[in-house]
Amino acid sequence: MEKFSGVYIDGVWRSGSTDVITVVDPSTEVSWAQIGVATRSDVDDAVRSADNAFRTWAQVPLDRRIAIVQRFTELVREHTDELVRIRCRSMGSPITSSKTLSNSNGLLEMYLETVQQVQFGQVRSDQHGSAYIMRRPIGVVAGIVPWNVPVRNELKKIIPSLLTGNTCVLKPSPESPLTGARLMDLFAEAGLPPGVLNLVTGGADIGEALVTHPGVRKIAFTGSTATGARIAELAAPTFKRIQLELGGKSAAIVLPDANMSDVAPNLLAFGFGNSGQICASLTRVFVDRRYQEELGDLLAEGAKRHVLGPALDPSTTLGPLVSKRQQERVLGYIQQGIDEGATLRAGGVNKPRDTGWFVEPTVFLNVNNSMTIAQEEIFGPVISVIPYDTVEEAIREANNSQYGLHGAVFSEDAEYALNVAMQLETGTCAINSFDLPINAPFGGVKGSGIGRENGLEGFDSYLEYHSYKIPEGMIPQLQADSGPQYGGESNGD
Amino acid sequence: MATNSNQASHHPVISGVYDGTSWLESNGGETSTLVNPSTEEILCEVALATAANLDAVVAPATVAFTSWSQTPFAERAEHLHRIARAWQKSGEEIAQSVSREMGMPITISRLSNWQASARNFSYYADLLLTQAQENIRPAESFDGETHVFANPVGVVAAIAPWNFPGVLMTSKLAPALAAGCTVVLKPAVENALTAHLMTAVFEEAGLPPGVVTIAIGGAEFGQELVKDERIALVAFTGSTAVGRNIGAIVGERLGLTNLELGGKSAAVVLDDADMDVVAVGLPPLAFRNSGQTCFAQ
Repeated sequence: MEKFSGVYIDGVWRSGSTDVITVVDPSTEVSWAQIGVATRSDVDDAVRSADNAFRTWAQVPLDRRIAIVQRFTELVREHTDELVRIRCRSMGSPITSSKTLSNSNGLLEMYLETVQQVQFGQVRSDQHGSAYIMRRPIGVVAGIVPWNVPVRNELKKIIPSLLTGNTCVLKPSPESPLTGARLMDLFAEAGLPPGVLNLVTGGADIGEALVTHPGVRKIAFTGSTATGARIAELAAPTFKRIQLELGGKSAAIVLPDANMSDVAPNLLAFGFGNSGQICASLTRVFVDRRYQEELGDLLAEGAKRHVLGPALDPSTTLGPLVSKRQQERVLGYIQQGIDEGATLRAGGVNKPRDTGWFVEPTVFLNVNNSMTIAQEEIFGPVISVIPYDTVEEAIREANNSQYGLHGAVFSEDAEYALNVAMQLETGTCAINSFDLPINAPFGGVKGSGIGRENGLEGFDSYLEYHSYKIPEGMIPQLQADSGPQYGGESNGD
Repeated sequence: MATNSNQASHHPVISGVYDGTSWLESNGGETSTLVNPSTEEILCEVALATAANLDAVVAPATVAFTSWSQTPFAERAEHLHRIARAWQKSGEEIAQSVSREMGMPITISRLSNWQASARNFSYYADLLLTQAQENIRPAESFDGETHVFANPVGVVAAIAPWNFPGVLMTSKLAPALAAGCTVVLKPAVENALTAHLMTAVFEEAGLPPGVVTIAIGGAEFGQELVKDERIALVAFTGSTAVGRNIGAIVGERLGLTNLELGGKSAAVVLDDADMDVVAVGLPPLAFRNSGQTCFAQ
């Protein structure tokens, strides 16, 4: 059994409470690692440490912060294999599709590039005088992350915090807590000062302690809609800034003129990728009733081509789900789809392997948008094909959802597709594709969350505007200090 | 100032519910008496909005959102400029009305409820025209490009206090309308007469029906309004205690908030400061509007 510390405060590892989280490999059901769990008093200490560090870190010039993140980026590259293995053994993502840690390197490079476009200071004048407008870090950010994309999930909270001059307390998910712990060491090696990044491993009680803590100024959360709503409610009394990236039930609208053999690979990639454990998965596929069979056959063939197996096996294309609980939950949804009258075209409720929490990639046809499998986020490899008679009906039904995260529209006529995309109530939408470029602001509307991550806009929620009324004589100096390069607040000594 | 009463009175009763086209007949519920704080003279009775009126103000704003949000920037900007001009024309009347309602000296009222309020509309109209409709960026590792739009969030509930009603209402209305949102405005009960003058301004400017609706009601109505799932964003100026409550209610349904709350602002007078300058500069901010300013020092 490998042992990990789960509490890292002010640059020092701690033992935490007497509890531990045991990490079980979802491919083999073998317990292989243990990690310590934080106490509530560890949370207090972590926040205090981050708050103290904020006083100095916020003053560190941007180029210095960038240099540390660059060094960290190199270290992640050097340690990729180790991190990939931890990830595979923690949540079951196949090694074949985990090699790049979900393009974590691209994510890091995007942040390093776009932070240099942030305008941290500007002078604005009108007939009544001038104001110097600064964008300054907020303070302590609590990053609360899920288990589904280890490393990338953590970095999406840590990196924008650090680059903008905030400090961070990270709470990884109890299902996959180990990569968070490894990242602490890499940041220390990269030269990040103690206290700027702290770690409190634990469950919902530790999350709640952070969300209600008066010293935390911002919550950056990715996870379920129910938890997100609870966070927004609990964070309000202390006026925390919140940024929530929540669930989805994203629709792909396949327009009648689309070429089904071009469409199917996109749907398969984003329907079954990571065993469907991606918030932006395209889980509802709206297709013209006349082409449902054709598309259904292609999707079923794709589902059957998948090789289910242990995450570390190089021939595996689809790994297990993260936990037995998730497996049971997903199988329950599949049974519900059958019971509510959808046509099962591939997969089903059979457990495909004796060991490991596997679910067969499943395709339903003739799904009605009001069925449970079309309304609730399954977070498993289940695609629901919903036939439509008119495009208007498809748009209306696609919008008939509590969620509004992502979407896709497929057509030979890209302009028409964009027009349809703009009628979807979603934060993002892809045309003739499934994914979104990394420099595009990502996040949802409706029950899918608040705020955006990635791209230049991804820094907005980490910065607060401060306005200073200034005498005219100061304008030239302040203008010289302004502009994209000005990220720190040099204290002059 | 306003005091609630259920008693019949001989003063005129004005409506508290504007559905975006006209002020509705009172439903005979609770009323509030408006009193001029300078003279203690009773101005009128206001029929307060209740939860039963919620649909009358939210539904038209929801319907109007579809077309208003799609109205081209230039056209929306022109609407805002028309409001600014109509507000300028009625400015003296609005300034007088606010002074009667809450005691603001007319000299300040003219600057704030007339000039600055009208200017809010022209400012955001001009600003809107400088905004790109979409930002196009290369899609890096993908073929093609990403089009990034800043789209209006939906129906905004704008809740304003009585201390600087013109500026505080228009600094929510103008950016919301410019962005393409429609607005359910909840002014302070004290400003009911001013709200009636405002709808005359909107109508003169030819603002489409439902783009702005108004409900004048108490705290209970306010609570119902912010709970309403059709309200995408609550823009509130007022006390910290109420802001905290709004944040929790709206947060729980994953809505958006914009809260401008109380303050206890400090002025730091350094030892090299010219006391004559300080002595002249401080009192206006501390005492202006009889200290009823959130950034008073």
